[in-house]
Amino acid sequence: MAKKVIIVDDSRAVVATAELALDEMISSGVIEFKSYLNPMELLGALQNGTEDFDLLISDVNMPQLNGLELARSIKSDERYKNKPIIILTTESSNEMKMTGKEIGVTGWMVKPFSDEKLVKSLKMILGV
Amino acid sequence: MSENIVGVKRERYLTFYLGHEQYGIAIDKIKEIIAMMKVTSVPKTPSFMRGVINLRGSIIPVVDTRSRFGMEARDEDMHTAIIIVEVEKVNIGFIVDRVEEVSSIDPANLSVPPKFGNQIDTDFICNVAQIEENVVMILDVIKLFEADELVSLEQIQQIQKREGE
Repeated sequence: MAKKVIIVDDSRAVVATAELALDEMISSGVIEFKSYLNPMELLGALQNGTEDFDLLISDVNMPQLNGLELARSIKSDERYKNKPIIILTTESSNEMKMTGKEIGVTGWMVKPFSDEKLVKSLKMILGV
Repeated sequence: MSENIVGVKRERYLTFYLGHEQYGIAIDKIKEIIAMMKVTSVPKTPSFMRGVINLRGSIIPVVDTRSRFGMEARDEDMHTAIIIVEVEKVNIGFIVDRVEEVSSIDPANLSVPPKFGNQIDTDFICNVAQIEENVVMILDVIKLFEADELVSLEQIQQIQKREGE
């Protein structure tokens, strides 16, 4: 069954870039790809159980909710606490990394990311 | 899986905006999307050529897509992006107002473009698609250039490469 990958980023260009990078995995049915531009919408859908994921990729700076806070809220839910989350960021300060570690995020990816790196990370995390 | 049945394969397109109009390019030709960056102008090139960019060491000619479509210029903002497309083995950047999304389009929803009158040449629009309530004009990027223009773009790349060495 296809693994569900969700990306949340308020930039449509970043979402499209990730979708292009993952095109082969999407068209071959290895992954199912879904995107959200608004982290609150994703959080709501996860909380009421209408959404689920095998891997979440989240931006940090989003107007409605910071990606780390989103990750914290998701991780505090029993249903999702062991699910992998990758944080996308333009700069990763030590402070941010400490917060991420405390929340339990799986990894970091610095924007702009290379297609190869994204694909490689996904394959590694999802074991596909 | 049903989407893999021959004949109903859904094609995927990257859609973007120029003004209020939405356009699409088949994703198999797209190399990447980058944020707007410094474009160096190159003399003696067609007027719709904004210049070249240096993308991680590669020199890529960049088209002012608005100008090519006969639209008025517009100030760049945080959404302005450059879509890098491979056209006849040459990577060319297209400046767009805003990238929208990657959309799957069922070939059944594609139709031939209507004639828009004579004031603009619309040969480069190969299809018109309906995505939800939006109409998307699918571009045939190669038709955006005259044959000799592509040759000159290739030459720009080579000249810039030599100068950079």
